[in-house]
Amino acid sequence: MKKKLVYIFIGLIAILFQTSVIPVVTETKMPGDSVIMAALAWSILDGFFAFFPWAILLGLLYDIISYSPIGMHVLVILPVLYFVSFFSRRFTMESKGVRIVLFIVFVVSVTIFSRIILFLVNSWGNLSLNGFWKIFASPAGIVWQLAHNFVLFFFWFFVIKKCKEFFKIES
Amino acid sequence: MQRFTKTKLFVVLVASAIFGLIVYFNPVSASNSIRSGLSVFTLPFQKVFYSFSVNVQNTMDFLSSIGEIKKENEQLIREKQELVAENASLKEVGNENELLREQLNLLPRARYDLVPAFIVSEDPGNSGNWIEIDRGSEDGMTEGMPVIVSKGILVGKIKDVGLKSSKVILLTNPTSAVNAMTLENSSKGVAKGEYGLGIIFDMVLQTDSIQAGDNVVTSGIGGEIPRGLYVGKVQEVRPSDDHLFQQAIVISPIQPSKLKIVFVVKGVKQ
Repeated sequence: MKKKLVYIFIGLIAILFQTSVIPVVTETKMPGDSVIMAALAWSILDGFFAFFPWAILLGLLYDIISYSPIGMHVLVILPVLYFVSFFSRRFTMESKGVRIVLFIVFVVSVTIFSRIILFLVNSWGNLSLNGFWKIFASPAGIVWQLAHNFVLFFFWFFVIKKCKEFFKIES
Repeated sequence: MQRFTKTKLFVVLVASAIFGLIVYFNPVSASNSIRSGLSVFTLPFQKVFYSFSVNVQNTMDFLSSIGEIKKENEQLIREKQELVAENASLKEVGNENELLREQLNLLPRARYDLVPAFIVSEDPGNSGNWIEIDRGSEDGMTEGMPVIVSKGILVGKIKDVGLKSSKVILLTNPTSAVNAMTLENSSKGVAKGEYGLGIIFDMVLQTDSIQAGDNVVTSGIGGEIPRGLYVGKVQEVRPSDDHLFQQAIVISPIQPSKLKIVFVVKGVKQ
């Protein structure tokens, strides 16, 4: 019960952060995605099967609160979870330096992958690629989003790890 | 085969297929009901978060512009003096305007039934597509109601209505299309959004006159949005892609991400 309450609370905070804070304080188009970075950090900390149901719940809540097509962010988060699970053993075996490099690879891959999925779903909905390319594929936009996502990822990794230690939550 | 069904890949493929179908069929009514219920809990927090963020953003803007404030202050003092003189002559013009509005049957702005609303969230991709306000069906909101700020600057119109909140699509949203015209020559067209990048005043006849600096307002055609709400100023005129019409890039005077309060035009006072 404690785990459910803490996880739902953290998930809602990540979503509210993404809908009511980040678009206001950052003036760039396509700012970082707090929810997807939180999901990435959670995947690393909890592992595939432990986080799987939460990944679906987080994606659905995000879609509902952000007026996105239902299931869109689930389609982003599930492959992220699967991708991370390939490297789960390396986190315990490798040195800290290799772990940081892995984290950087994750953030870059997930950022580009999420842009592609969101681009495809939104283009499908609007039946047009025109104009979207200017936002979704601009190099400056991608660089800014990567910079935001690095900060957000390490923030959520730290917060979720500390919350799990504080509330003594097992994966 | 049994081993494969227990693998992570199989689980992800099945789940992705299910949610892919859900995205394809997009059950809007079901999601609206769930959103209405969820907003009872999330709305107070969204209001606090959003309000705090706007204050932080305004403070950051202020700190970054301190050096220019003194110069701007001196310029404003000069402009104020000029405006005092202009105001005197405009009072006469204002009287004439009232007379003309009566003759043309235009709605005086003071007769709009306005409902104030706080903004609680916006498009998380920051693409200038939509904002969410804290007024819903229990406040009498319905789809299509225009949303304005100040004394009549159009921000967008209501698209999805929940119990306590509503989604407002902005003029820069690609699905937004508003019948508009220029104030100077009454050249008619459609103001469409361009993925948060701006507003395009499209489908203006080649024979109509339109130039940079013209003011674009709503034309009232169709009856959904009252006539005379300000859209923006023309920045550049160009031919449309098919060369059948003229197009203009229109710049709105407002930045929705810096707003805290907007007004929904519920109707016209009798």
